[in-house]
Amino acid sequence: MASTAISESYMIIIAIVTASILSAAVLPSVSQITQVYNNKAQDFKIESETNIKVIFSFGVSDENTVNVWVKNTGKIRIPSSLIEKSDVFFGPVGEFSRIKYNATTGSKWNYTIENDLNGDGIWDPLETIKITITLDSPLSTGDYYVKFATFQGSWSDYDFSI
Amino acid sequence: MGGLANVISSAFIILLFMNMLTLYYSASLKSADILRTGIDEAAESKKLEIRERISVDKLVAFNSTIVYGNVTNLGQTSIAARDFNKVDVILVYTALSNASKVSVRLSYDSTKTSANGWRATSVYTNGRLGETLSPINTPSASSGMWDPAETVKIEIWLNLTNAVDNTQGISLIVASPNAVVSIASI
Repeated sequence: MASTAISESYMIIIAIVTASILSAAVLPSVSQITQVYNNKAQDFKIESETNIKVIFSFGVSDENTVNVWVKNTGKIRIPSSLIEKSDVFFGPVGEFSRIKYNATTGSKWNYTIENDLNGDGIWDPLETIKITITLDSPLSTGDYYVKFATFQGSWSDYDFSI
Repeated sequence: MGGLANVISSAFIILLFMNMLTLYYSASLKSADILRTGIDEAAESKKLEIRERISVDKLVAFNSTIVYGNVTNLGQTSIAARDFNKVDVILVYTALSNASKVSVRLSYDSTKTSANGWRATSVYTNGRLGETLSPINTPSASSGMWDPAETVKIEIWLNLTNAVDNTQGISLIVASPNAVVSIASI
């Protein structure tokens, strides 16, 4: 009787210790997994709040410059350091290529904030930037394509003819 | 004794697992909440864009430095006059100075003090001067709403350096605050 009670006590202690060890091993992993989920959800939220639209683009035959106006239609404020990480693609339809930001050689693009309403130098929601693409060869007549993609991958494109 | 001890140890183990599950689900709910907020805000932006619609017409080159245009709100939502500075007005024309084709975005300037700019001069409702709802106090446009079916007459002015050759074609591009675009040409 006493020996049964003792062995039962041992089993109880073993069960409790085992459960504690298991939870101590699993809890940090659960915590890590939930952190990953939260980070992914946060990234998705930022991506869905980052929205832009090309409203107009214009170029002239025999000239090297193309103007592109892009509006921030999202909820995110985009500082200059992140505008510079945007991607600009331009060229004849089907033959466009990526243009480098502020390149020292070859084609390049630069920008200005057209209506910096609060003067903070940040591309705020509903503000518009003007992208100036300077090409290393003049434009000729034909159909052209321009695409602007933000640091988060949100993009907008525009077709026009010269 | 044995039965009571089993119950206690079982209860302890169950409590531990319930703790882990609670932690996991509460974190999942937080992720779901963040996702829901992101989706809601994206949907709200799209909703605004769908409800906004404008149309540009009656483009007139008054002279080489003044251009007028009518912009009608054809959408289902009003645009506050204080948000006119979020409207984009772009002019494409042949420059009088050197006959080159140029495109220029004009800044909103209700006081007409800048060298180049645009402002709202009057508002029409179904062709009749004036508005019934939330009238805009043009040209300062510091208050009022640009309601559906109302037409705002805009005045674009340019300095002599940027003067327009009004014997050549002119295009006016207007984008609403949520980037809904309309184009008119003469």
